[in-house]
Amino acid sequence: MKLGGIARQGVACATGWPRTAAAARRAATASPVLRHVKHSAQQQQQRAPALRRALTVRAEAAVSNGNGNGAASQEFDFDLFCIGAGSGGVRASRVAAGTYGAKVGICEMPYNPIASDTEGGAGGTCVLRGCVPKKLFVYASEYRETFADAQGFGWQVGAEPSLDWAAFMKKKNAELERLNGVYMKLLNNSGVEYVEGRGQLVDAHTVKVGDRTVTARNILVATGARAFVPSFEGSELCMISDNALEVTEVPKSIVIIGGGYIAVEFAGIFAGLGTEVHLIYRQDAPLRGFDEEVRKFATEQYALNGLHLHPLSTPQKLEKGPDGRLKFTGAKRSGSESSEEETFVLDVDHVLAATGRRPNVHNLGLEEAGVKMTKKGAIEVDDYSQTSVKSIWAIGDVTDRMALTPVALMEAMALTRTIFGDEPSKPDHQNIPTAVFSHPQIGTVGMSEEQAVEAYGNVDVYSSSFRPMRNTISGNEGRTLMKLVVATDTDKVVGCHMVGPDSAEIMQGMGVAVKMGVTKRQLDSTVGIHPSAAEEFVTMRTPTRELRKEAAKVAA
Amino acid sequence: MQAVTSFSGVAVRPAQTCSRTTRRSSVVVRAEGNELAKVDRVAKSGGPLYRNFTSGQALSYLDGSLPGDFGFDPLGLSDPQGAGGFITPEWLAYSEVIHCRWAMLGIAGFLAPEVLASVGVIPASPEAAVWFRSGVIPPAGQSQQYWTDPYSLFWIEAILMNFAELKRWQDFKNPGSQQKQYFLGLEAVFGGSGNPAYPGGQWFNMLNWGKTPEEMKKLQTNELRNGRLAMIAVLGCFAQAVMTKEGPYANLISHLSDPMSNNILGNLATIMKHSAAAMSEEYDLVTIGAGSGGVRASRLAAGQYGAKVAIIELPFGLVSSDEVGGAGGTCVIRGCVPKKLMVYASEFSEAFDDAEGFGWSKVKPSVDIKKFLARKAKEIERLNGVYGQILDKAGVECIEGRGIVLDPHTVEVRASDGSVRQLKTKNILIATGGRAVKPPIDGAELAITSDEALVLDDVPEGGTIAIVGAGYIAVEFAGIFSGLGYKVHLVIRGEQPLRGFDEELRQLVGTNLGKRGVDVHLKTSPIKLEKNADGGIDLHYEVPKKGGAKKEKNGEKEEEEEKEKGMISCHKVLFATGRKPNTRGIGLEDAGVELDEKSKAVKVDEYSHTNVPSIWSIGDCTDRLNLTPVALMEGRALAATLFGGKPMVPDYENVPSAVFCQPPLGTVGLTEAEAVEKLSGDIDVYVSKFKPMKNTLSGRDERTFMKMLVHVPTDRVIGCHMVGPEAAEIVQGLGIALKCNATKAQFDSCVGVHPSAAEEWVTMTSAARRIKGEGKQLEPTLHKSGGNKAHD
Repeated sequence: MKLGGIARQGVACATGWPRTAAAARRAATASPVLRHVKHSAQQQQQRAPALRRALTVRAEAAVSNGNGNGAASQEFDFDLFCIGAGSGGVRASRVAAGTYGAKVGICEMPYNPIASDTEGGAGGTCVLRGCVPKKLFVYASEYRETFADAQGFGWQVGAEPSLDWAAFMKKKNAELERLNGVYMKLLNNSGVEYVEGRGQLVDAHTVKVGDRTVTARNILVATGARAFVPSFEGSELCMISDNALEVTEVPKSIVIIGGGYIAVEFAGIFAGLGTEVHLIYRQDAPLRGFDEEVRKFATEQYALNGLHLHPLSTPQKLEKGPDGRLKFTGAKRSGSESSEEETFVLDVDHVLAATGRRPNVHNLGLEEAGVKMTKKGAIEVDDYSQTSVKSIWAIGDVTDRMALTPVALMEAMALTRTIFGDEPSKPDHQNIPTAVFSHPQIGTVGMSEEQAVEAYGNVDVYSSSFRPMRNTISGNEGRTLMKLVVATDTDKVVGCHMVGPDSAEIMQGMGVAVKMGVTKRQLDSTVGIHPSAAEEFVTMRTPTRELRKEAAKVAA
Repeated sequence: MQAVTSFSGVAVRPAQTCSRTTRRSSVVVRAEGNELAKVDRVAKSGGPLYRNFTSGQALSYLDGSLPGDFGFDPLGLSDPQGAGGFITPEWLAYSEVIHCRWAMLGIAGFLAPEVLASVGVIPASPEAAVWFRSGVIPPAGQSQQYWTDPYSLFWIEAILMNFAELKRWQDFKNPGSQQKQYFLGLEAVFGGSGNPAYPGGQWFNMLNWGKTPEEMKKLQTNELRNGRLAMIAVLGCFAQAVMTKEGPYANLISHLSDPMSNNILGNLATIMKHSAAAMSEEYDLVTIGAGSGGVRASRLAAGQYGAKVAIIELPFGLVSSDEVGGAGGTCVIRGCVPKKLMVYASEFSEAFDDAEGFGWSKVKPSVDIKKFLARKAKEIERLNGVYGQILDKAGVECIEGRGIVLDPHTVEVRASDGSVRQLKTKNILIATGGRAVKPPIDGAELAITSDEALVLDDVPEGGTIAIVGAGYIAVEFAGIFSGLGYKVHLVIRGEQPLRGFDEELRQLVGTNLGKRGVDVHLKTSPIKLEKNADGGIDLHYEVPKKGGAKKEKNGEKEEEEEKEKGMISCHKVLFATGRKPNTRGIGLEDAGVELDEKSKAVKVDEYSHTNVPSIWSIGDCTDRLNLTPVALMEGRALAATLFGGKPMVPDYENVPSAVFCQPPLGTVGLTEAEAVEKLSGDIDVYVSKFKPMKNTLSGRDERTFMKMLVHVPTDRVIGCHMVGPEAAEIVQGLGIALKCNATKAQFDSCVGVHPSAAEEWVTMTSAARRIKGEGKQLEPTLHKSGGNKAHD
């Protein structure tokens, strides 16, 4: 999230984007789904026959939907009304209004960095209590290591500098408020009507926001998700990531429950700030779902950074002492297969539950409107983000497909194209590059080695671990891991993983390449940038492992 | 001769011990003390076997009945009654004692100078004091100055030793004669027993040892024992010298440092490896220069394709010259690697400032530049060693010295010890790289180049450094020295730094330099350098006069802007004004290799082939695209072409590269100007300029800039350029995409990594402007999916 970038885009929206004003809006209102959009000859050419068929089907569905409700000629307040002004909702709304000239409304609860049933704020999780503040925390926490590294390079730092936490938090909050304002402005500039308050579905075309009731041809549910705390004795004493981003002083010690990316990110942040961090997770390594080698390597690096790791452990009890400190009791299994448990007690300032997130679906009137839910409690949608009710759509974390900001943005873009662009589009959830801002960073795109073996059988793995050049002088013990997973039969690079400095930035370009279906030969033909870490990805010549289907069978 | 002259360090003259002895008494002593004296001889008497060229007499217990009894002695030297006849049993015993003494003194002479020189007691370099180097006269080896010049040393030694030997011989022939036949009458004082081997007396037995015959005999036996050991030791020293080219003391130290590998077996193995290599008559490839390109080509040729390869490189040193280089080359020793380490070091001052914005207390530490440079040097030496190991592992023979092409199939190696070796080879690879050049202005010799800048430790804290040049080296050093706390002036002839890069990037880099406190002098030409009174340097320059009108010069037609002069006083001046190929003095002209007239670069075709069929060239000495990874690509392509049976052409399109200015610059593909010039059809320019998230809190007033060029008719992305943190790391992946002929639609289909700077590359929604291509090319170059345009 680059703030200037947003601002620039805002300006672009306001001035450069096609806003055909009243004429376009009339057309849109008259026929929101089948609104005719001029396409260049080239766009027509690019569209495949299959897509054209899909288009027809989609159009029919929408028309019959309109008829089914007996609403074909009904006048709605809005072409689109969106519940929730997070990443997905804002993007969908402002593109629908700004690019396609639709009449759009959006509702969001009043601003507060800590979310509740009554408070939220434009920008949503990403901007107010996720990606952005998290990354600012990561930046702040990295300096302690920088000071140490500097001494290896001959800088006479002397006594370790101190951190004025209150000053940092003040600046951080000012920045979040600014961003919240930027989002409001974005909506305003695209002509989206903003309604403050909690939105609730009344029926397939009606939403109630506070005292006001609005009607809309299409309704978008983009209410996101919130942290989930498992229940155990005293679990109400836990804080969640929202609170962790608002702590008034740096804790001396903290227990973090969870093995997901949020848990390891906060572990890295607090360890960097000098907190004694205990990471409690159920598996034998954190980051389930990631490549096994990456998990193992990252775990080693976490231990090297001074995290106290408690694998195979679950929380049992949490008590508050008279001094306000917390007594955490956990149980640790003696082995991954064993059920024998041993309890342990940790005396800490805070306990953070980073144990997953659940979609925000309660008290939204979803049942009343007849929207189907998945077993896991998310809104069920098809490939086009359409729910079981034809006029109601859902994107982002509330659909629990892939809970990432850029994915919500992609879903929003596809959605507006489908509804207003006359071009049914499916978001593509394949090969999405992601990053974990733990310390060290992890970047990944495509399949893990295990998934690739499952999918392709014959797989070549290129893996290289090295000490980054900077650390040869700084004396920092941290290492970097880079890994390519190649489907042998097609030579396609199907997975790319990295643990180490700048992984996130490096993985973006790799993501473009993997998404394009880059082959190992094409990687090899690319010239490296010297000296960089990223060049390792184009200079891996000999496979570390050659995994073959036959061999696996024999072994079985 | 080397063996003889090596005794020059020993001031003792043992041969004179034989003066004033008499033959008769010696016979008595010998009869008592030496069994050999009584040995009888049997004459050769027409025995049937093996008599040709044998001696006339054998010892009595060897009666001539078996082959070899008489020994090979065509001159009859050991035959008292034969033709030569002086090697009597008496002579043998006597000569052994004398040889023992020579050997013992010799060992002392081998060791003493080397040890004393290496601990600094005697004023000679350890190099010169090693026994087989001291006093060696060219052409047998390189001349080393040891006490005096080698010629004087030789003659002094020859005269003294001949004199001593002569006297000793006379004494043996005629015991006691030396008392009478003296040279200057001095010998008379020696006195003695009259036994030529053991003269004794007040001079030769000062402490009066061996009073009884038993005691004397014990001492004599011990002397023989020690002497025999010494003779073996001398032999050992000879063998060591041949095998290791080191003196005995150096060998001992090296053995003690790693007894398991530095021992006789290890050395024998090395020798056998080398001699096995030498036995087959010629190499498949001899590479001159073990830099990035040379090492890559050689190790692939040897390791992957099994060719017989030798690589020649100068001895290691941080600052290069005609005699100094080192495996790893410019990149590892005086380019990319040390440069990046210095960039890392200098970036901390930025971090210290930024930390404050994140609530950390202010720190303004100074940097201990000597400590940093020492750690840097250690790392570079380690990498140099790694390169040696890589070559060894691949089976490439590494030869230290200067390689010179004698003819298309012969390379001469001149080692620093003066030895010369000729290698016969099927192919020669010239990979000698380039070196920094200084512009020919007055006082240019006062300035340093990038080689010295990387080890610069004598500028006082906060001192001033002027950098002349506008290329990436100049800009990088400006950032480095500024970050390390020096005041930096960057003197640029043109209007922007970084010619050849995209205009908007150049402008931003210039702005960033200024923001970080570098004093950028544009349109400024240095005229001369002068030493100033403070021990620093004054850099005199010329700039166009502000508001000055153009005037005619000397009535000639050419117009020139009015100039005014100025001066910068500084501690050091760094010339980063370009590099030129290292192609002089390595025999290329004689071998008929064509060089570029202007740049003197080796002219090659697309396969890196010169006009001489057996000579090839890659890397900076061909002055194509002077980047390490490009040399690696050329090396790989060459190895495949020569030995892989796969002619391969390196592909110079879409080579990503970075400039490590601060913040860095990354670029791949065409610049806006190049795109307009080459392509026809519309080109969309997507631009994104933003404040990086970190700067929102740190307060740093710098923007990240990204620019993507898209060829509209084909939707192909033809250029990505950026200035901002992590630009080098970010652009690498984009380079891959461009190699895969990425379209804008494909970029758009990729999901961003959030929150990152790089995600901006996949979220550029609207073009900032559309420009018209003015070139002929209808579509951007299409990369085949095989990458390099290989013929396979």
